[in-house]
Amino acid sequence: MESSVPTLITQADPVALVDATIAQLNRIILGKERELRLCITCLLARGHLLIEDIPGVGKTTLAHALAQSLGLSYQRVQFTSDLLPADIIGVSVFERETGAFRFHKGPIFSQLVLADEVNRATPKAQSALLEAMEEHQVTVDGNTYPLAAPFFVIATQNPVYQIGTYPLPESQLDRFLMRIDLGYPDPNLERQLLLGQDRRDLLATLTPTMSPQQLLLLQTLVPNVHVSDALLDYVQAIVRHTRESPKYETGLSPRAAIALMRAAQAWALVHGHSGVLPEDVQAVLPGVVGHRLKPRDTASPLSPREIGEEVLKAVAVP
Amino acid sequence: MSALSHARSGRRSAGQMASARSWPLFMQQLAWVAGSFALTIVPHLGDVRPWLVVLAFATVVWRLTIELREWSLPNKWLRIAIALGAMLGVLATYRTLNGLEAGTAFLIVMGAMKLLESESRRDLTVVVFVSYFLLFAGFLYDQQFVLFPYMLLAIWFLTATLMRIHQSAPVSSLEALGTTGKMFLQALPLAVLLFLLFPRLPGQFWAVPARQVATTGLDEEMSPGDVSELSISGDIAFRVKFEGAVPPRNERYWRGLVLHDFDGRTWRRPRAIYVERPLVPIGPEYEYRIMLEPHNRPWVFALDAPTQWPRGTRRTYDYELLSNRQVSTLTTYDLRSVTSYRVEGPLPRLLREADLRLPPDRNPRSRELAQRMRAEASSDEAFIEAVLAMFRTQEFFYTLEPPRLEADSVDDFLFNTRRGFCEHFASAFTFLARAAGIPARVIAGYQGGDFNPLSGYWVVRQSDAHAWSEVWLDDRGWVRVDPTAAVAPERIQQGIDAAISEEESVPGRVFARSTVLSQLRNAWDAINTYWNDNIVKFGQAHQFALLDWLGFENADWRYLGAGLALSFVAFFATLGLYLALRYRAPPRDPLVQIYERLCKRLARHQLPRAPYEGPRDYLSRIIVARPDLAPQLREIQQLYLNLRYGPTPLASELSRLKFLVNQLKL
Repeated sequence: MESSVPTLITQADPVALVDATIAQLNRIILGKERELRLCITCLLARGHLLIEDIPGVGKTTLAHALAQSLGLSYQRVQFTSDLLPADIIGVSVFERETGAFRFHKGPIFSQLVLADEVNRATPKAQSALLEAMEEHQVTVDGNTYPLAAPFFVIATQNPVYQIGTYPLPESQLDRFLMRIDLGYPDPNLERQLLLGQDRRDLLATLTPTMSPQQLLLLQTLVPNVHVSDALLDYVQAIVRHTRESPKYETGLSPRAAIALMRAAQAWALVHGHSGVLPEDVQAVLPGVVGHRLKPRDTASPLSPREIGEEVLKAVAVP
Repeated sequence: MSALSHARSGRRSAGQMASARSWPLFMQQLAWVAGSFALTIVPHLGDVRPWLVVLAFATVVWRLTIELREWSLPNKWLRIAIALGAMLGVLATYRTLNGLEAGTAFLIVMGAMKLLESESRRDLTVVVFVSYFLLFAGFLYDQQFVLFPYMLLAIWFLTATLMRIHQSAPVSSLEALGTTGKMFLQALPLAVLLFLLFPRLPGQFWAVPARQVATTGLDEEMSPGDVSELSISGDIAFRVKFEGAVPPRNERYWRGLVLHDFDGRTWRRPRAIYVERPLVPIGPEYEYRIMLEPHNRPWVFALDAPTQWPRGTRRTYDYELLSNRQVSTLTTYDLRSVTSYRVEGPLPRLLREADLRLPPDRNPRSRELAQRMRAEASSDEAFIEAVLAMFRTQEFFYTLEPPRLEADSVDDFLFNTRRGFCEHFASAFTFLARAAGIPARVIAGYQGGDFNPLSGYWVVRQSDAHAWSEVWLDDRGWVRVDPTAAVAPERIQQGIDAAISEEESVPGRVFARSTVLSQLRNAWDAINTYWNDNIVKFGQAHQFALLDWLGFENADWRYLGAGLALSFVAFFATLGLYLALRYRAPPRDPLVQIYERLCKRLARHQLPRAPYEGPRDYLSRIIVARPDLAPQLREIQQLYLNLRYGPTPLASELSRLKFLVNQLKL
């Protein structure tokens, strides 16, 4: 699979590579270009993605298509209430021939892991995944195994009001760089969807548009995207607003501020901006802050998307 | 959530009760209030009765123990009983609740009782306010400089306590002290302005009530041992500043009281008033100012015979100077005196009788001695010379520690002990003169005084207390005779230190022997003098002098008020200017200015920018709205984004941008 991709990764043009990828993905996931871009931005910023939506809007398809297009090894873990940490990480098995334990790697050792319906599993299983996400390595029986590079987790989550879910606590939500939702498709596009080929079959036709090496290179480019003083002022103004506003229980943490800046850098990179623009920040803002801010008004809570809108509108661009 | 955090903080405070740092907040506040209350009682330790001090401190300790051990407060009836008991105690001790001492005592009781029942922030605040009152009451007793730094410290502490009581966010003790200190320094200019310019009434604004206790200095009567007792004290009696000539040391007799009545042991001031004889100056008249330390007696010490004295004082027939009220605060008098003068005779009959009267059955041997010596002498002068010669040549000793005398004190002194201090010699001499038929009286006062070059004042201390005699000679009037000068001339020439033998301890000797110490003492005295002159005594005259110096002649209180108002305006204007400068917006970036100018111009053409709108989005929107300007706007957009957010802004781009924006025809 990798041999079919040019390996001259030094020639990687971020905009061209990403545009090609998006163009291909657009054929599968109709009318969700913005979400797709956010998804790739998240990947380039070395973050993990949380997709929160009702079942059946194409979360799994998106993950699968992304893995295909980027030439990443892909594993899907369906989270259920009886899922055990070993089902994610792997298990040591005694082998009679060698007379020793051998570690059988679990699905977490793939480059792209889809953790489907992550809020249906027990907190114990959830934390096994989230620890691996944070550490980029797994320790079993005293042995430490590094995870693949690039390593990207897409977790999907049912809206928490559904039965049989364990909502992720705030501290673990913070591990996800971005949270997005897909939503229902546009009626016209839905019509196409109904008329068109089965998505599963379409997936098989995808060819990689980017190699993992190129992806890794792009990841190293992200932190080097220029951030001007004026932009830092803007980011800090946003953070200050969330901390001073009476609307939220707590403001954004410094880690969240870093996440916001990193995501904006990645967005600027894939859009070919030489420096991060306020618009780049605004583009990623709802995805980055939506799940990190807890509204104080619990009677009619804002949705994460609304939170993003509120923060965006409340802070003037300096 | 909030219940959870409460539970957490509760556990923390219970777990670490041991160290003061983690005391519960109320305990910390209570400790501060108790500490500041105790601080304000300290200056009153010498003024109020010991039982009150014990009560106050016991209450403080009790209240703190209750809080620390988590006991419950004493019940209401017990508290009322204690409070009533303490109030009755004050009433019984002072016979009144009015007046300075009783008022102070009452305040202390009230503060202690309030502290005992304190269980809320409001209670603690009341205790702090009582403490402020108590602290300032200290100034009614005493305006000495030494109190001032202590009061500043105590006020600082009290205010920090207020801050600790009313803190909304956690404040550490150091922070409270730091913030309060800063507030003090900020308030200082205003305080100085108020001090300098607030219009004052001439004279004393309020009269400090007279006090019954703690008189220092010379008393209304004099028994053997009184003056020598007083001489042990190094306290300052008064300070003197001469205008012009200074009388020589052996002329510096400061007259206090003139004692006429003698009962064989004790000399007293008479109740009777006699006719005054005119006084004819012979020598120069000295002009001087006396700054008298409070001694709670009416007399004012003046150089020998005062010839001019201020209002509020009067001169008696025997040249005492009396104030109309007790001298209970530091008071200044401008006086003139003569040290050599003649009093026109004859001596009024009643006064002559009074100054010849002796208890008939006392001191028979002395009386006999005097009559024999008078018979041998040719004149009154000769007799006086003979008596002084007797003191000089026979075995008489000048000492600070004279032996106790029998009932016939003069006999005992002249024929047995022969050791005495100035009052013994003055008493014996006056007795002998009266016995010989010469009218004579004893003067109690001070003699000498040391010059403090740092303050320019002569300082007269209690150790300079002295007693001497005056005799009436028909052709010369009253003549001063100092028998001490006969037995110990050094006392008059150099002071008490030189006159007393090495074995005896003399106050001030240690200062006289060490230049460093004496300079230190002079410096301390100079500070106090400065404090008294310029702070305590600062009044209307000083204010007008200040205005005069500033160029306002013939100023009255209206000038002061206007000056005060103007100074306040100037102060707050300066403050406002400082704050405005400090918090002014940072200098504008020219790039930002250009962009804002562009936005403003576009806004005028119905294309305003939303505050949250980024420059790229905004300008793209404008390009769509104004396709006629698209090329320029596109270049402007590109230049601006690169200059503001790009990695390599160029100066040439800035000028190009400026040019484009200026050329833009909307």
